[in-house]
Amino acid sequence: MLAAAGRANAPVQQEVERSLGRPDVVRRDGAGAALTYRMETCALLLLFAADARNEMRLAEAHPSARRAGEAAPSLDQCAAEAATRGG
Amino acid sequence: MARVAYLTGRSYRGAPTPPGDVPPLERVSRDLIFAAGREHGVEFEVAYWDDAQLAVRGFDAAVIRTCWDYHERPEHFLASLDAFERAGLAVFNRSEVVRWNFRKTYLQQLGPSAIETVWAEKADAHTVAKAFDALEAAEVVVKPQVGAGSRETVRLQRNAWSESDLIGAPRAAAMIQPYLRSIETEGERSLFWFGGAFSHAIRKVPHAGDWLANMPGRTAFLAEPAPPAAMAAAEAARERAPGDLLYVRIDLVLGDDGAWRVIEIEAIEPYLFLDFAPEGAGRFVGAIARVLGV
Repeated sequence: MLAAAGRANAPVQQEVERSLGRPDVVRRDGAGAALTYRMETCALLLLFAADARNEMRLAEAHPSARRAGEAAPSLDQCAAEAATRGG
Repeated sequence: MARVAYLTGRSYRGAPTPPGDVPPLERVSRDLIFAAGREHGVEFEVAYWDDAQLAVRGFDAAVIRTCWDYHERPEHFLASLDAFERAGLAVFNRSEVVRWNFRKTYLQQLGPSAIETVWAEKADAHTVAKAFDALEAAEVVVKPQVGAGSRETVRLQRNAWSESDLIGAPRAAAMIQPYLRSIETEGERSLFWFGGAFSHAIRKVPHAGDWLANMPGRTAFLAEPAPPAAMAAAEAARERAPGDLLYVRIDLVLGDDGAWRVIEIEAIEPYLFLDFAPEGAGRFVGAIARVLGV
């Protein structure tokens, strides 16, 4: 689902929240939003932008390591960990 | 052809912004502005606001656009703008305007069209209790004097709040305003002027049950003409603001007494909502072209 970020068929914010649950941090700017999910080994930053129909569609997904010095996991790895916390 | 630096930050919400790019929600606006630039004889180039060499890279001007990380380094941001201007690079809006707009105490200068506000160095229980009486309000909103995006903002109901509710309130200087119920139905209006000329208006309507009209995903953004009374209130506030604003967004909410109230003037890096009002791009660029004489 997250791999479609930036495409016309990217999931909208509600679909992501249904799948991954409530984000740990929500920040808003203009017609966009940034959601952060914090898991055991990775953090997932999801950037949404409003499309012409006012749908908040996933534009970018950035996985990162939770601990300094560790390599960032792949998006697939981080998304799999996020999915285990569920909605 | 004039060359204008389109200033952005190096990161957005923790994600690095690659050179030449802008945050994803701003890409539509950037593309519209760049296309309008080609028609008006203005070539834009995305540049980081903290680029120390910016003033010697041959730009005719710099326009503050998506510098959304400046809140993390406000002194550095202001120093950069000052340095550009000292080196002869015009900045829009100019640094003096940015300083004026930085702290929401500018509302005190806007006259009766501004929302009634109690100013406090600290949002403690005593101050908030007094504000309820001063504002004769059934509900109030406590916000920081410096900040954006509903950060550290709490809504309190008279006789139904306690000190623990202030945990999410501003830790620094605060402002306390009456909660205007129309935000749930009428929403919030954002009106835009470029080069002193009105451009477009956006209505932000929260979905049922929500009260923050700037909450993407829970708000509908509609390009809709502003009611004449809202326009008049915004114009009255604009007359008391600095006179040389190249761009400005004025946000208004309908008061319980039926009069429109200005709740914010954004003259630093307003989101322009060009995704919903693309005709504004040409007006924005036209204002820059006029100032630069191209």
